[in-house]
Amino acid sequence: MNCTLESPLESLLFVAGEPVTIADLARALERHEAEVEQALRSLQISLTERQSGLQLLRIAGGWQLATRPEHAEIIGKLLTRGGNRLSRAAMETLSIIAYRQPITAPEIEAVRGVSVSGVLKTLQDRRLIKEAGKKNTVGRPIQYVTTSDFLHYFGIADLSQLPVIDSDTPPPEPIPADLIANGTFHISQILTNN
Amino acid sequence: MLLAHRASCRVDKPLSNVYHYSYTIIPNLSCAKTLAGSTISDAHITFKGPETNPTMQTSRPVIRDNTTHFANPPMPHFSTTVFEGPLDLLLQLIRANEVDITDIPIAEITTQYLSAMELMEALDLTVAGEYLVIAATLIEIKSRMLLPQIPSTGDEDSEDPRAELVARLLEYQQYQGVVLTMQGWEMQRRQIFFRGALENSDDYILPVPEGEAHVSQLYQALTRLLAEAGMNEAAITTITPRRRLSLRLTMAGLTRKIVNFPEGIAFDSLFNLPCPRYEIVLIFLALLELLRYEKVRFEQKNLHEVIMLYPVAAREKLV
Repeated sequence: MNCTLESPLESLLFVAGEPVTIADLARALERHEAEVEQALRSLQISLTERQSGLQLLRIAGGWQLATRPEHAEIIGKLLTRGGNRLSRAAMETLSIIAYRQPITAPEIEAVRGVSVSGVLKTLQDRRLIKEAGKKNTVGRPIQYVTTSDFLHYFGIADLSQLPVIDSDTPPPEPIPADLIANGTFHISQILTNN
Repeated sequence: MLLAHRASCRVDKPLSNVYHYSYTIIPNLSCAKTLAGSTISDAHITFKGPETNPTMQTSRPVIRDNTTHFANPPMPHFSTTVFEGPLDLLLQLIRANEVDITDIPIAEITTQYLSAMELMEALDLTVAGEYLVIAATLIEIKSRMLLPQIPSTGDEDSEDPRAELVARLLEYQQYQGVVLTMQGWEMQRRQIFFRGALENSDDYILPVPEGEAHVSQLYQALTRLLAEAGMNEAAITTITPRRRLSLRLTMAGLTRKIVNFPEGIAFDSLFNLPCPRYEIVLIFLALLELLRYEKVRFEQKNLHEVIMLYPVAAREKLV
């Protein structure tokens, strides 16, 4: 029923090459946002139904066309992947920033117990975090926040998708075998296997 | 994979002849206990990477000169991917001992923690100051717990000296849990690809969202402009084939170009940027010649305005 809207929508998403907000799409199509959202959902379904090589994702505050995960291997044969996976140190720092932003370097260090200046530089270079003013305390330290690239990197739509944490959170689950194979492993695992 | 390639070896000797491999050191708890205060006698060495099969040690040629080899053993190359800092080490010890995080047996954990530090030192890992801070904290807590408790008077109950450390560990542990989720997302996300917007930059331009421009973009723009202006001349070592440069040919080309614009052509548009400097000079000289022969006239309405060039018709020339 939304056929007339789905088609131009697909074109728009194709050319955009970055997550597009419903507001932007609605402006381009001169339609109501609710209509556009409905069309986005039906386009999402129709892509699956017609077994398209593309899928429509809600990511980093917008909508974007992406390839299907099952084609990753084939794509890998055509394209060379750039960018390494994030290190454990980078991940830990990033998770602390994500939950407690805006946060300063000393505040992160207080949680992690190690210096984070090098990691912050890496994360900034990868545009996963950015500076957001200075805290009004002694020394006026720089505050950091996560970027929309952060959301995009992890394929999530917004920060609310991060798991809920509080002091009653049970300890982390044992690391799955595939992570161990990738070099991230735990001393306890090695010790219990002795 | 890592576990499969694990090799247990004595630190003092075999290390020196396998130094060209990359190691990860995992202190073994059972030995860590016996280690306290004594020399390192046993450590578990985990080999990493594709060339890490311990059996390969023998197939690799290792230069062995007994006289110098033992006198000056080469430094092994280590990577400490195991601990992400002192709190991580502490948490791993707590988990390995299967003790309650809120009721840490401080004496035991402190001993193990110090052993792990000692092991790292013995293997020439630079133990960062952060490890010492936590070690000091542990020792302080331990000493405070050894002291007899002053019977509390009133409702000011004596606080557990471990409380602050436990709070820190619990908070840190939360984020470790989040890291696992995020690593999972990262792996999933790496299975899908997006197309970039840049490929179409010739066809259309996306408006830059306000406040999203970056200093580096300005710098890129400057570099591009300089390149367009021919500022990034090729390095001196580059060999360029000799080109025939002719003023006459350039003049002819220029005339053809200007004649096509009876209503005038801007001076700047005569140059096909980017172009080498000699071409700019050549075009300029050709233009001066054309002006001298009155084949072209130029006009500038005001100072700093665009210089316009007009072809001079054959009969006009006679005037």
